[in-house]
Amino acid sequence: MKYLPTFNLLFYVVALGLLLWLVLYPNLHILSQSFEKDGQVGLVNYLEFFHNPSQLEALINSLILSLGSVGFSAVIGVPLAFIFHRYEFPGRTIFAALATLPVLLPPLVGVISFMFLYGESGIITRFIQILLRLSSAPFSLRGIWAILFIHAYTMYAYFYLFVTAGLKRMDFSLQEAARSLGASRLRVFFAVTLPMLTPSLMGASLLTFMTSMASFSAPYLFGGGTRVLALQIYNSKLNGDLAMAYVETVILSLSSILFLILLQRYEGTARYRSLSKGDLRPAREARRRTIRFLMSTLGAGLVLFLLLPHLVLILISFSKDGTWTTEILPPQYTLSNYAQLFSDPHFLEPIRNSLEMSGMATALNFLFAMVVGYLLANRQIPGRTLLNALVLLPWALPGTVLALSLASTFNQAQPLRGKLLLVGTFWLLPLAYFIRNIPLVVRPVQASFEQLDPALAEAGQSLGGSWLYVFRRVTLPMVLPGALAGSMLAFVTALGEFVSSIVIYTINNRPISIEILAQLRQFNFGSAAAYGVLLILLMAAVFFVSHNYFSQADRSSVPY
Amino acid sequence: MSFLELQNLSLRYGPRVALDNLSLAVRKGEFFSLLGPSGCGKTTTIRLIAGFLQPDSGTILLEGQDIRPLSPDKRNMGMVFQSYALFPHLRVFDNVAFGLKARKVASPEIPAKVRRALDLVNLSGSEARSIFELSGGEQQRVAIARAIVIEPRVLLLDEPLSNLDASLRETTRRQLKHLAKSLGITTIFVTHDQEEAFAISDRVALLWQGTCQQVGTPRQLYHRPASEFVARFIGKSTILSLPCKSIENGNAILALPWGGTLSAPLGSSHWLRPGMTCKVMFRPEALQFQSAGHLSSLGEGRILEIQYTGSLSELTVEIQGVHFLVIVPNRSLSQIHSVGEEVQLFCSTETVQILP
Repeated sequence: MKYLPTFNLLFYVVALGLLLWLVLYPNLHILSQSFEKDGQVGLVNYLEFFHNPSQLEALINSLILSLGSVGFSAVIGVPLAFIFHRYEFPGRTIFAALATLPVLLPPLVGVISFMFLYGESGIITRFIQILLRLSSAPFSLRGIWAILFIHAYTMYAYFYLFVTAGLKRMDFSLQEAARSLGASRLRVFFAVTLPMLTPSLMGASLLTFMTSMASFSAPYLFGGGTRVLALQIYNSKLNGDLAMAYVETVILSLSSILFLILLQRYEGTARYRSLSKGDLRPAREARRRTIRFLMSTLGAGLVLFLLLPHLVLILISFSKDGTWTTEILPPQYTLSNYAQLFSDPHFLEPIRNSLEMSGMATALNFLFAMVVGYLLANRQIPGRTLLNALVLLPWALPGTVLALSLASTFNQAQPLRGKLLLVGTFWLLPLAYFIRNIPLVVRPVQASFEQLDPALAEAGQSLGGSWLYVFRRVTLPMVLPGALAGSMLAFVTALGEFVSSIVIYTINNRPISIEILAQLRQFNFGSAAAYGVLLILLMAAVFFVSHNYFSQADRSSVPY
Repeated sequence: MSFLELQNLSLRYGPRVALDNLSLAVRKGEFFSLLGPSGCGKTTTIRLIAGFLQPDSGTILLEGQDIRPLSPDKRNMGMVFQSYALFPHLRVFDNVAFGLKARKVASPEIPAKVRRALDLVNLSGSEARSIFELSGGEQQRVAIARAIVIEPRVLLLDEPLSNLDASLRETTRRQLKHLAKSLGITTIFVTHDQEEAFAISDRVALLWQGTCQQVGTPRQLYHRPASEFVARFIGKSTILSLPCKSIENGNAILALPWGGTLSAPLGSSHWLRPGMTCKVMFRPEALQFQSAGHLSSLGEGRILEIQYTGSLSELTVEIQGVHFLVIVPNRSLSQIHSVGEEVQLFCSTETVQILP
């Protein structure tokens, strides 16, 4: 692979240039703008922020919400992972798979299905109200507790997935060694099992924290006036107070980046890898029948609870718009919601827009990731840390921040200062999708290149293949599955994107998520849900395809 | 002129010297092994020959032509990697055909060539199998078929047996030697296993710290080691420092620490003069407890330890604080020797080797 240094240099310069221009520059732009007020440079905006009680409240709310989300998600996700992966009972595998379902909810779609379920006129709320003959709704899905509820409901999946992965990797001969050395079960759990899981727990905590800090949809629809930073940015921009929006952006970004650095540092240092391959044990039979029965029942109940948002969304998607008022369930059903999605130009347009914009962004993501992933896999390239940081930055930055930074940078045609006039055009949103999904595609491609046994390319060469021939016939087929899986994930993420979209969409490129919101505002629940189901189906299809056809594990090398 | 000649090859990885002025000459059709501990430069050497590395200085001549300017794909070397490096996305047929397609062999000829190569490694009919369905030994044979199907000028084998289990390793190495000899391919075999190198090779080069310690047939390396390092690395031995009393008829008369003398052939150690001290090597199978006409006595000692390994027993015999390693064949069930037993140790003079 080292025979084309000029080629590599070209790739390097283009990739770094693009990252500096599209990722770093807009953020630096926002940073510098945040220090400007009426043409003067200073800390005025920041002083204003920290002297304004409602701004401080937003910052504190964001932090409390995020910590709370971490706590609640852990309390649900960790025991679930243990129960589903350490004990054998009827239905275990199905429950274990279904418990990852929240991952399949695009952010906005998840939030609206909660509204249909637990909102003031939601199905569960009405059901309880009628059951208990209450005069008003038993609870209202409003305010900080509502946001926390939704976060825990969806983000527990991070803990569940991370801890499950940790348990699957764990070498159980360590536990046996501890037992044989005289430790009790409880002691083994706290002295061996838990420390071994710290990387998983840390990873899940930080991911949950960052996602909560960036969370926009839940506070936007259920906050009921609860101030959080991600929302304040949007509101400040709507009110035309751009300087304040910039300050809020900087503070939100800083806290997110701080946590990303913590995560990276932690990944770098603490790795309790077992020395040997060890004893990777399947789940064991729960001993007592009552416990097995209890577990199965709990599992089934839980999974039903987790499935409810999806089921309700499907149900509502068949309801006739404008007929559901005070009943528990919608009274009239129809297929017309789906029919109109594909026949009525007004309904079809957002789908076409989203497909078009996501398609373009993803194609670019794919090409870009092939180049950058290839470069990053080489540990010796100069400036690898910078390149890596720039690739990860879009992941650390909340969608609102990204959108605002692009909107404030590409708002005038000044090519010499690296500025283009994209605000108000079709192009800004696909650009945002592209930037947001850079890490999503680069990471798997980089991993594929890193896992590639260098001996494979050497074997190809020694058999008489030129550099290009070996790249085409050996390297590419090996990297492609990872690249395609990442690209498909990026595609569905872009398709359901809401947070950046709501800041920078125009009437000409209105994406699906914005249309869902519009339909919701007109009480066309059926139409909104139909869009949601469409998104979920697309996501499920992508996960299915990438799991079954692009599974990396058994392709990276031949075990001998 | 030799078929493949490495002349004064040197290579550094940063401060670390991988190869230091290495010169080797390999004959046409020869099965040649590079033997040495890990980090000795043997894999570096084979990668230089394949073209994956360039030497800092020195030349590589193949039939008199300097092949350094050629990239790996132009060298026509078949290489079998330690990990086999089979392409996981291709079936057996396409793995073997890869080199043929890469060098644009006419496609009607390819199936026959692939079939012949698979026949040679006893994998007839495996064309359509996936790499993942193959056992370790089968994967290894596919890797060999893939390397020989291109009719390489040199076959390079980088520890190809190290991932096989012990019994399979022995049969495979027999097949490998047979294959290389029947095809007449010049073969370079890298290994850290001395027994393997000896069993399979016409000649062996022992490398250490990037330099060649000795080149020769296995017999030469074992019985006439060129240095103490070679003597210690190859086989087991007891090495003593003994003063030379006199030299008579091409034999050195050496003084034993506990009195008495030992006569040893001078061999190539012409530098030895009376009064000097030299290192003397005893191979364990050349030592025995029974006297016979041509044997001379080393002295009286005591058995300290017995390691029974089945066909042989390894005994440690102490004479006046000096430990001798003795190997005796176990011809019957009954145990002949026991720990603590007083024995007299004999050796035949011609097997005693004065180290240069």
